[in-house]
Amino acid sequence: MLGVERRSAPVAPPFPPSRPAAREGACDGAPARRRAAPTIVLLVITGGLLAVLALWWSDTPSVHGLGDYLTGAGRILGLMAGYGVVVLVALMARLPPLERGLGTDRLTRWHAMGGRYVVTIIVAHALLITWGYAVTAHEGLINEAGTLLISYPDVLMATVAGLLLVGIGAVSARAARRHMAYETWYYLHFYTYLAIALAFSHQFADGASFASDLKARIAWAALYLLVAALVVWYRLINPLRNAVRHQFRVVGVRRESADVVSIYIGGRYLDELQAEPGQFFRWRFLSRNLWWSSHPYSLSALPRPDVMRITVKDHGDHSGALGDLPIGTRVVAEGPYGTFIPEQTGRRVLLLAGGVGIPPLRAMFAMLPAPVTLIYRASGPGDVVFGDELEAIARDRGATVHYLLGSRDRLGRDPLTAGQLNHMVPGLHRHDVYVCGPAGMTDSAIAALKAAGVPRKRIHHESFEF
Amino acid sequence: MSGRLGVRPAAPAGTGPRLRHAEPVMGTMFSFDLPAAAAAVLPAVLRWLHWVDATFSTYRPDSDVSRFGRGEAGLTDCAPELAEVIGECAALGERSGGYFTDHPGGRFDPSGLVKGWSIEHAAVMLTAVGQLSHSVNGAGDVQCTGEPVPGRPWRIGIADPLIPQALAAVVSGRDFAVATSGTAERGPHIINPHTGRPATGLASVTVVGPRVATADAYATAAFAMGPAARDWVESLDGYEAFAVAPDGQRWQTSGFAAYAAGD
Amino acid sequence: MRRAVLALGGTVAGLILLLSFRSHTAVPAAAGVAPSTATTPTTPATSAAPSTPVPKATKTTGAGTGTGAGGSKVVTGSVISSAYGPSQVAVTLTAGKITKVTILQHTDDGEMSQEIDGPALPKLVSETLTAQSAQIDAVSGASYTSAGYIKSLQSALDKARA
Repeated sequence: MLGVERRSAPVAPPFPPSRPAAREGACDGAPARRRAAPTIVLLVITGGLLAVLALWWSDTPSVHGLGDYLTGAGRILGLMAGYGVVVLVALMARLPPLERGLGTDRLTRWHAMGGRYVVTIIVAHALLITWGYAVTAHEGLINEAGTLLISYPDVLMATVAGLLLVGIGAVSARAARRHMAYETWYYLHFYTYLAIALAFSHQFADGASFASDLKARIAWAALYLLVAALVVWYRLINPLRNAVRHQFRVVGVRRESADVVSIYIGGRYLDELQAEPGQFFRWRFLSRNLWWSSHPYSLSALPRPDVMRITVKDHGDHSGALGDLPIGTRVVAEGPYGTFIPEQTGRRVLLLAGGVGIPPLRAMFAMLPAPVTLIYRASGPGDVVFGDELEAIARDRGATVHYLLGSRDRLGRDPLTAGQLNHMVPGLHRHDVYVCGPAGMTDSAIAALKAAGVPRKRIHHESFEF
Repeated sequence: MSGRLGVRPAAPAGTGPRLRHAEPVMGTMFSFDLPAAAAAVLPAVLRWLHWVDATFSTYRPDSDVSRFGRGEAGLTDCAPELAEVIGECAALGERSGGYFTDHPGGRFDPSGLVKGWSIEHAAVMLTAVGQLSHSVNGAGDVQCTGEPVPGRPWRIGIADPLIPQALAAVVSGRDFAVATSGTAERGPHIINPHTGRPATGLASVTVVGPRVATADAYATAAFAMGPAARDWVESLDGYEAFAVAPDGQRWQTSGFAAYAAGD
Repeated sequence: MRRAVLALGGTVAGLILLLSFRSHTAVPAAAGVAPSTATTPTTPATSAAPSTPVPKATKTTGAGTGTGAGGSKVVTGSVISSAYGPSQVAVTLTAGKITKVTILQHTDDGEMSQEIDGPALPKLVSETLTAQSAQIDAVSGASYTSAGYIKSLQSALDKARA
């Protein structure tokens, strides 16, 4: 199928370990700004919500009787849901200020929490409206539901939309996602756009706040259009523009271990991207099998103006095919994303990597000033990657690498304890610590670090829920 | 009523076929203008109007109003709506200097308010079940909600009291009411409470504003006042008047022009 | 889980607050008494008074001949469009019977009236609209009875647009 010669290592070593620190002298107060950003974003979202509630308030002269109360509650929740979906889409629109200010992992968490909430209030909205109308019209619930579905404009479409969202919410639950491929879940999630489109018209046709209020309709439509335009620009058009500018292509593939492979992506003007160690890109490889999906992978070495490297474990439909990528495959890369970037604080740094979490820490390891310690937790010696590179970096930069090998089951205990950490890293409580690994490992590592006396604000980690 | 099973372009309430229904009740005719899809919710409203008729009719000796008026029943023995109506009549009477009253000639008769009040409540019932485009016309007093057709307001003609079948003016609006008091059909039936004699100063007066019960009461009071009504309505907030004098001359309050739709 | 409970609890509390602030009848600056939207009334089916059965989409019928009391009375009917242009009919009633019909024709020559006696009486066509009323949705006018409604412009609108 591919029949293309694969080079086993393009240039050795491709990334000189003694590259100077990328952010030297770049103390610009960015961390403080990043800390303020979540509050600002929350304030903006809340401000919008208050405006939406004010719309209901101004339209509602009075509420009398059970039917009015139920319908009123249903209408408020409907307005909140219509606003909520726009916020949810905006969070995922890859807006640079949001990505820089909040970080992809926090945006994803907020989107997930918000999504659960919005789906819940949509269901409550449908039930309360039906019940409220039924009480006012002295009809049974089933009859009223039937009347709503059949004779009210666009309610049938909105109901389909609501069911779609409930379904998407269900398959997005962690429990469900464990049983499905990432790609399957990712593409199911796109049906949210369809649901939003289906439900839009019923807001104007049946929404008492909109039916005879042209200004409200204009403002609402403008909000939806704005977010739609942002999504189109930042998720569709911008990546294509970047791909054309930078001409990303696969220039090398190297197998690092039995199930880990590194991919070298070349291009031009890559320094314009200003990627920092610890950040990731969303990669779309335009090969026959892989063009339809995009995945986030961290850079596993400092980026050069002409080459970037990622290192991926073979699992899942997508990653498994990466080892077979033909040289020269075009790539569309979006990014850089992520706020998992080392800060220059003058304190010593501990990097704590678990299994698949090594790539971003390997990148950081190559540029942090000494003394820096890397603790690499892996199930066994065959699972360690970059062994040679790490040794070389440690030698050249005066850094230290500790390997903690052995799976927890076989050892019968977790070797990452507070005591062990303090023993390996003298003065641990004065370090800045960067942790990256699978969820279970990072959780127990963070607990151990806290127990060892490291203040929470000095423990940095990036956890994704994709 | 047809189901909408396919995906169709977004259409605000009001497109699609309209239903007009005329219901004889309270000795007069109530006309409804609704989307055809609202036919399912109309019977409940009509039932309620007939209930109001039975409860408030002064022509039925066994109605709550008749029994209360004769002293046979106290307020607590009657429907709670009666107390509500009486309260509103009192407030409106005060506001109109007694020209609107629920005891014309000494008898208890709240009919002046009941008609408008029931029109308004019928409209509210329709809105409460999500109908956002409707007009309810009870014996010539109209409460409009929303837009009859997307993008344009309701256009309500004001009958000319001197030329049958002609219109004296046209007003337009989205959520508003138009109520007219005049001589016309029943003859001079509006009594000036202060003189006890039929009011003859104006041929008709129309009051426009947010709510039909209030507009109706104001129109009745204004008609009884005659030409003095102009200053009185001018002093009211949110309601405007248009009147035709017996010689054909017209006047209107300063804010009425905002409603005038022209032809 | 705790966050979910907080979020949902906060939502319910917020809804109750918002609705209860609106549950007292708002007093708009306009009318002194804001008509209350009323508690939902009991169904009238229990009332003893006979109620007319609810008709579906009633169409009122009937020509619009006026019913007068004793004495002579002239009633002007609707404007009818014909090949000769618009014309209007005036009907004279004596003791409840139509005794004379005058057709008022508006032509380019000016008004001409033509009188018709006896049996050749044109029916008043109640569904014809004047040029003005064709553009309106409803008519506000002085109060009418059910019988009086028949002659009114409103009935013409209801019939023509039903």
